[in-house]
Amino acid sequence: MKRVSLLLVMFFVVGMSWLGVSERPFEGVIITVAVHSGHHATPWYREAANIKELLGITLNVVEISPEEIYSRVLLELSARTGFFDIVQYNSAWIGDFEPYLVTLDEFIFDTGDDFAFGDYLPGFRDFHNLWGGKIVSVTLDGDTFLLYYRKDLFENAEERAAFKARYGYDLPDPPMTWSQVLDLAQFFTRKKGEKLAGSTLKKDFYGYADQAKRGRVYYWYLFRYIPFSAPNPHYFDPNTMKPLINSPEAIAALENMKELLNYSPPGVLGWEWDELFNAAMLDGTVAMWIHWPDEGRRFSELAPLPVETPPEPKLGIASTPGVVKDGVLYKYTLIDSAWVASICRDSRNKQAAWAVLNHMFGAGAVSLRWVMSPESGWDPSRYSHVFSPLWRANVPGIDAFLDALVDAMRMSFPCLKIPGAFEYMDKLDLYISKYLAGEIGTAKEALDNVALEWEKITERFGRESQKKFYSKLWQR
Amino acid sequence: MVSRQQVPYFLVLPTLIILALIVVFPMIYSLTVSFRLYDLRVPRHPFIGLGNYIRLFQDTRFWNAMRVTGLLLLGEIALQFPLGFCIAHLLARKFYGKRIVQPIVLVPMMITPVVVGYIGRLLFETRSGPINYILNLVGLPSLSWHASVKTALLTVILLDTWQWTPFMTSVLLAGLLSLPSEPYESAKVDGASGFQILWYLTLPLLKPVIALAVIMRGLAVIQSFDVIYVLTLGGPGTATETLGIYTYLIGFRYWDVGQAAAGAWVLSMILSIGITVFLRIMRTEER
Repeated sequence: MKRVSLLLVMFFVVGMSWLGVSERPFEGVIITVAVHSGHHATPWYREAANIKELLGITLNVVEISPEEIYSRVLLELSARTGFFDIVQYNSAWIGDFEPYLVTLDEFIFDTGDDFAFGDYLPGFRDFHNLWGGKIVSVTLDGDTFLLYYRKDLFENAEERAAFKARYGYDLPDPPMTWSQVLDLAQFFTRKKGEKLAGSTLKKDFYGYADQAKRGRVYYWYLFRYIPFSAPNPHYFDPNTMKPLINSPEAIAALENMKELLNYSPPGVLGWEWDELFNAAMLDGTVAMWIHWPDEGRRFSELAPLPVETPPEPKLGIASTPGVVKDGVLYKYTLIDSAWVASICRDSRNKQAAWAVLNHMFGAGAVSLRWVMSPESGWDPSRYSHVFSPLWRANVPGIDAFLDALVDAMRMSFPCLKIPGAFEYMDKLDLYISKYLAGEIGTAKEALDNVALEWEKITERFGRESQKKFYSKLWQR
Repeated sequence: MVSRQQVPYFLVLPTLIILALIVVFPMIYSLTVSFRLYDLRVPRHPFIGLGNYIRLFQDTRFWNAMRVTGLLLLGEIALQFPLGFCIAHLLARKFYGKRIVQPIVLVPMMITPVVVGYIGRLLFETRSGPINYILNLVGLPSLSWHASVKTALLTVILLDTWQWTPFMTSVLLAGLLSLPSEPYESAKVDGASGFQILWYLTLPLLKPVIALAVIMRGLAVIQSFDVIYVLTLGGPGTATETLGIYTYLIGFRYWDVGQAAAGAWVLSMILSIGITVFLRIMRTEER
């Protein structure tokens, strides 16, 4: 009898432990993830223990510096070593990475869309995750661009009256078009000692500023190029792959950019992220600027206006300005390529890799926690992020940013994502920088040079091949 | 059995193997890459002979990079050598507090160039930078420094001079302290002036050290990258685009590794020729 009892106990213990294993469906599996080093890696490390506990998966996080991530991951993928199961990469590289990744549609179907893919904001869903009509990645970082402006200044009754008297229309709050931005920039640019919002300025004040240092100034041109090229903006003619970057609209956009330099702080051609953030947010000497979502999240850091008796600082947040054509307002939000994650074709544990992605980025508490946390540097990308009652309750005043983000997503536009995308953009950046710095005399000459360079790149990669990639960018 | 005569060869063999692996192999490999259409994104890398070199020489940006690098080299050596020499001369003398001053002078050299780039962005900021503040205090207008085509290269030169003059100082100081004292005593007995001692004694005796300092600094200037990368990324336009930045963009941003390798080889040829010519001149003058 004792023996039978002992056997029963043993069966029970073994059975329970077996049941325990089945609750952790990937016990013993190791998933290797290539991630952007630094703050992007933090959530992976912090979630590793939870992933182990819930799924049985051991996470092997390989940090790679942002400068090396493209080459290191591409070399590994193209050598088909199967070393990485998941790769984090900039979605602009999809043209180069595509052959080595799996589509995610079947995982989503098989799990009954447990991931809630449809919860992604349309801009990210369409221009980060979809490629050739298939889901190839999940968004980590909902990076985009918004217009920021001094709402405390824009709401000042004295300034509003003076603006109307000078320009013949109501001071627009928020500014809706680039033409309005030009008027507003001119109107608000004032010298130290002059009056602003009814008080004396202690410093020079500027109407507008771009982040115009060589390297990323092309973004600030695209904010104009895209709406100026409405109603059907494109980088290339989709049928011929001929560049449209030197069209009359494109030239007008660049001229607008140069004209606004007259109302920008001196030295703006050397400004990177820090300089613009510091001048606009911490020094309070710029009326309008376009930047990533950082300011929206850090709205409470806005400095008072540099006047003797400043009003309560108030940051205005809106989608980037547009252009009116034939009475229709065309506004677009440029979706920064930003960071996404995919499963590698040569991964030996694709199901486990999907389970990890689902844990990290599926709709729910984990994803929300890391987007809300300043530790990750990840911006919101889902409806469940921007409409989270938890976030809105925890951070009073964040509503303006989250609502502006939802509004901005209504009409989004992608960064270029075909092979050689960086090279195309860097050539654009180079000639814009030359034109703004005065090395090239006219906007037309600068953009003609860009078109010439773009043609060379297209020829090098193969026109037909590039045409196919370009069409994939737009397929839904 | 290894014969007695063969022993020395066996002893140097490990060193030769290591050198072959870490120096010779990468050099030969990069040379072969420079003859191929080597795009990282394309699986095949066909042999194209001198194609990369021809493309390089046809690129106006390459020639601009050569010009910028040349100007940077001239500007930096012209500033850093006399400054370094003067400071070395001062430090060669005995004075109160020398032990404190000497290490302080060397501090900029120990800072990572990337950090120097960021310091430069703060120092030369047009509106809030301390350099313009000082200019304004003495009644001069603010300059746009690295944000202007006219002054961007000058800004890089000034920043590098701040960081690397201590290198010149330390090398020249070591040279000055190692000079024999007898010729100086004889010169003083003969009634030579301070300038005559400097011109006819110190500089000729110091020539090998000067050559070393100038060559080492020149090599570093031609390969300049970090400070410019952070400060201007070659801009505004191409005002500060050196060969280092140009090659980086071609190789690591456009992934045209073949052309980047060709650029690197052209750069190393220029360096080799420059050093050989400089050493020849120095030797001829010594004779």
